[in-house]
Amino acid sequence: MNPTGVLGGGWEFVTAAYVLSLVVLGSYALSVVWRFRAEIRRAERQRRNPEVSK
Amino acid sequence: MAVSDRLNPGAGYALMVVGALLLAVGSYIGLFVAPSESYMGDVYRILYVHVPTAWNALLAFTFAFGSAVAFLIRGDFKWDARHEAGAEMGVVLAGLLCCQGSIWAKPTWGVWWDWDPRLTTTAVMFFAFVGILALRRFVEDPVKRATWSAVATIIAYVDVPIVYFSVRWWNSLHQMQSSPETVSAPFLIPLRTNAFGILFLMAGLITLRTRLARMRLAQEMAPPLPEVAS
Repeated sequence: MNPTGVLGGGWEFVTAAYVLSLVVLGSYALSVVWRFRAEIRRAERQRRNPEVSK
Repeated sequence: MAVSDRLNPGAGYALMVVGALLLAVGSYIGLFVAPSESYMGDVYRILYVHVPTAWNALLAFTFAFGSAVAFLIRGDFKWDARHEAGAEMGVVLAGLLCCQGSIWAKPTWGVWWDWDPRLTTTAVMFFAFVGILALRRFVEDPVKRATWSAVATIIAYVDVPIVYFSVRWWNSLHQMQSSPETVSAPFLIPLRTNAFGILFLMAGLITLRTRLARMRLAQEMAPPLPEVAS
């Protein structure tokens, strides 16, 4: 902060906040899609072979 | 039937793509087009992701709360699936919110964390819903799991309006909510674009997550296969 009270710089904090947001939202989105597709595959396997254990 | 169930997975993916595009556009404007703020310089640009994350976290918990109430009234497990999806989405957004806020606090307040009422009530909200998700993992009986977690969500949701109004009720370090009347137009565009971006992304994720929860519930509650007589 300079003597006028105005914050200077700070881009490293801005970058950190945006990168963190991208990583968290992106990772969660990938996790949901991956779990959803895995569940569809599992349901499909069970539909073909009902004797497969749950 | 709720929107999240009427939409097919393709619509869920489409909502996520629209949300990601809006977020990309809003972030670009917020980072490179919007002017610097008079006192906070460029650090204020964190608000373009922090504030939309906060709005949508509260919205996700409200969705979970509404679904929990609906489950207890109607006893239909589709509401339990929506409850699970909303609570999980809310936890992700609230966790992200606390981290973004911490990154914002360091250059502006000089500390990473302060036990200010807004921050404290937000942390309580986050951990309360983490506890609810943990409870759901530990209870095997679907009826008990849905009922107990719905009651816990209703109790935990009491904190959500406290989070929102905390900056008005107490003389807090955290600034009060702004309104369109107190924010200049160039600042509003990226803020709203990102807010809708996260909203669409959240809607898509809740759509897929609800379907996932319903498929798991159907599997869990399916009657056992009849034994073949020997």
